[in-house]
Amino acid sequence: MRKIAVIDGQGGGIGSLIIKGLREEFGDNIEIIALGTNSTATSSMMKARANKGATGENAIIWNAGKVDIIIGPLSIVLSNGMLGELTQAMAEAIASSPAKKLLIPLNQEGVEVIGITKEPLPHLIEKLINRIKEDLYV
Amino acid sequence: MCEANAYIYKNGKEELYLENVDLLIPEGSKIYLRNLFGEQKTFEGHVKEISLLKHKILLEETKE
Repeated sequence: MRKIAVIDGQGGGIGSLIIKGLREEFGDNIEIIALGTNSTATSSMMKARANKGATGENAIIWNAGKVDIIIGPLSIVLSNGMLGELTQAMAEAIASSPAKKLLIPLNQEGVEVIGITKEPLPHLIEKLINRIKEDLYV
Repeated sequence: MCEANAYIYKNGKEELYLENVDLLIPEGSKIYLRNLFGEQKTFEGHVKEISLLKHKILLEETKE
């Protein structure tokens, strides 16, 4: 079974929407690990029906190398992202992980990805799920 | 990204108030706004205009 880590911080709203979408599409055929940079984010993602949840720098570093796919907003690879919740060590662990990283181009750090068309979050999540479908069923 | 941004309309100018607004709830004479990152603000006033095409919410202080 594919292990997917969803990483989010602050209120965990983006991560929760991602997990909700994944669960609706794939049911129990995937294992979702919710990794929050704080406990509120983890709790919010657990409510969206992640299988397991863990909080903080060590949990993120530990799990980043043990999953097949990492999903989250672009901030999860930006050192000091999410108002500083995302530490340098977390960003390094995520970026260095052999897992495939599928990132939603949403961040508060003023990082713009050129070539991306502006779309509402629900559309981006739909595209993300289609990308995972390709990965799982090919 | 593409969610609506809220602006305050003052003296003929629009001033950015909150980006990526996800939720807007009128609460009496106040408006509660929350964005995708969990940032929340309460504005005292009313909605002057919402443009769905431009993804823009225009707020205005209520004149006494």
